[in-house]
Amino acid sequence: MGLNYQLVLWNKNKKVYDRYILLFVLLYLVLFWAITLITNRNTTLETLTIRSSGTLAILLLHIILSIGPLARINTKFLPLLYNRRHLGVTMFLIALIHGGFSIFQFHMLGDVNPIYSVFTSNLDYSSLHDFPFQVLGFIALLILFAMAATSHDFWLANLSAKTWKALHMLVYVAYALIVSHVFLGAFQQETSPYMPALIGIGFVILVILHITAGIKEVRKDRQTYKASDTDWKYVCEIDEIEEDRAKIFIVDNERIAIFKYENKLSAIHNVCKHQGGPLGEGKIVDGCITCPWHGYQYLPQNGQSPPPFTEKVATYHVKIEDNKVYVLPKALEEGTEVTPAIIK
Amino acid sequence: MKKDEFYIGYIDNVPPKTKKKLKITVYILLIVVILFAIVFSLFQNKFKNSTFELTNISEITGTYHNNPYPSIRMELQPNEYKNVLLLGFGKFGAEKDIKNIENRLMSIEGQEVSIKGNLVYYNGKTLLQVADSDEFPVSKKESQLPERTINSLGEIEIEGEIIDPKCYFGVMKPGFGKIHRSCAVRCISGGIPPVFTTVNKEGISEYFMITDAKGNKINHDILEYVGQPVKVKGELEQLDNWFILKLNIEDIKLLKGNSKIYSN
Amino acid sequence: MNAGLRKRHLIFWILILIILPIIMIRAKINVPKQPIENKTYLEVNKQKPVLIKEINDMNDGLKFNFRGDNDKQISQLEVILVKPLKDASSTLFELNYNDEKGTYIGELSQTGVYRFPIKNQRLYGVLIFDEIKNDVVIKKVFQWD
Repeated sequence: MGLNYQLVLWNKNKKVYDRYILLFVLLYLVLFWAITLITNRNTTLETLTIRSSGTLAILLLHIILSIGPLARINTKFLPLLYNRRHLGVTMFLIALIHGGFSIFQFHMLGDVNPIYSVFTSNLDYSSLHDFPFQVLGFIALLILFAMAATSHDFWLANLSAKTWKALHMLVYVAYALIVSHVFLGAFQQETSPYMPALIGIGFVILVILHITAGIKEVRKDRQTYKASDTDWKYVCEIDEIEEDRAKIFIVDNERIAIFKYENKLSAIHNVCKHQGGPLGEGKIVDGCITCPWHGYQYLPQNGQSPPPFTEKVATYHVKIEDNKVYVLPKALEEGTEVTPAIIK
Repeated sequence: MKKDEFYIGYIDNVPPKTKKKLKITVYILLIVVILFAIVFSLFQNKFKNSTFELTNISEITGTYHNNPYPSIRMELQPNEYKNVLLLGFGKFGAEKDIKNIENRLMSIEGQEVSIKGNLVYYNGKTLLQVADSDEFPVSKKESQLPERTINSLGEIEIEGEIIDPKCYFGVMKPGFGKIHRSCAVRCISGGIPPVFTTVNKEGISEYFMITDAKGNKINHDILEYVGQPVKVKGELEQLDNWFILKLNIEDIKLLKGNSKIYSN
Repeated sequence: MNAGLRKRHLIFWILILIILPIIMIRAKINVPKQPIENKTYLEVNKQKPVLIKEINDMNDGLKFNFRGDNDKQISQLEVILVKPLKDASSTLFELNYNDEKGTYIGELSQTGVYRFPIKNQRLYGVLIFDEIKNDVVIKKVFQWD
């Protein structure tokens, strides 16, 4: 958080989270290996490694992609979101095992460079059925690598937030590539209907989750006003705002969070400087607005993070008239001190 | 007053209601993980009992023949012969190893030799990955050896798949089909003799060494047909326990479904 | 998350919603099936008409049928190999009464049906031997009652 570079700022919750990740990964691998070795004795270690790591990576990807929309739909899922990054890096490492072993197994020790072989051993690029599915997996792996490599906040600060977010939104491209990789690869030869059915169900669940969360947000965006310098906009009655919490007001598709605390009102921009979390869904803790995603904090009267942190968000003028709350939609420069409105 | 719970990741204590809901979520995730593991492991297609003796060196004694592909013709019993195809290391044929051997022993064509290597076998076919001839020298004998005859059985038209025998009869599971196609291409491109395999409705397979129409080795010219269902035409020959199919490359037809994205 | 990002998410998911099902469905339908070839080229001796004794041993994937031209004279041993044997070579021999390798019968290779001419006798048993690795694969004693 703006301090000197530390690999991971561990705390108890992250440790518990990571322990569960490790537990579930081991459980999956042990179960997969045991069931295969018992029911399909002629397997080899290479095939077992490739399949167990590949299927585990897909499962992890589905879980990771669900966390975002789940947290929008219900705040009880926020603890899953807090350390999602570790899940993502874990998923990449397991996908790397799958990709690495596959490249070794199918392309190495031959007459050409293995990466060249990945792209040229099957040249049916113009066919859907015969498409070289390994290329899809390879590109997805590159995307996941880029994301894992830049997953540390160091990169978030040094690439611009826009670049970083654009890069990390490629996870959806990776998901599409991976589903295609499996359907144009393994599922063209494995005859069980249950495997594609599971991935199909996963697809349906992810689509429903994202659409539900999306509809929820679009409904909020509907109540939007145009930003202009001088017009005060009516937000709500004072009593509608809970103590130490905020009301989110939407202007020009941007969101303003108006917090009530210690008989005062202050308004800041809704988007947290860290990862874009919804500050208006946060809470005042120890006098600071606290983001519900990773706990980043800002002082309500000026939108600045308490020292030694240096993040700043934009602030807005807010006033109270007849127990009604009004906000001036024009954003002030980030970190501008604004006198809070006093509740009599 | 309703307790307003708020989860902050770096605060050790997790508020109680949040903790309870978290526990339920973790149990659901546990079930999902177990279900996924069971479905993806239990319902895999059954693997064949093909074998590659990676750590065991065996010795094969018989007559060396270079055509159609480097092989040793063993006499198992009077008048019963088994042809063991020779392979190189990795995804390569045995050409380099044969050259090394012939540098030391002169020509071994038609001679009785003892070669050491790693056995590959499945379903009645046996192959040998030749061991490093510096470490495991090959010995040659001067002896009266039985002539081999290759019987011609006429023109046939047949449907099946072109596979590489090292992977199919050995350690790749699966060693055929789309999943394995890239590896089969690599192996055949590296000199491993291509083999045609068919299956009948009882699940019984037959195997044919593939050459071109003149009976010469064929590798790069059939790469685009490897690992897919094809229909081929050619002259059928029999050599002891192997069939040989002398293909016309122009007559290889891919048996496809409706697969092209761009219809022409 | 700001409005621009929300729009980008929406675009991605609409694209995924349209493109992925097309790929998933088209990938699974019309997969070229493994062709079934009904002609066989391996020559097998003709089956003798009368089945005199049938022995199933599905554990090793082997079935043995003793056949003849009439029900008094055994002249053919029919071996049906159901599962591939996991051996470098598999030669079939008669099994002697002292449990040793006896007369050579024939070669077994891939799965399928084999028919070997044998003398008229109630075979004590058979033995499958791997000539390359020089060891016994299977020993089977037959029950004649």
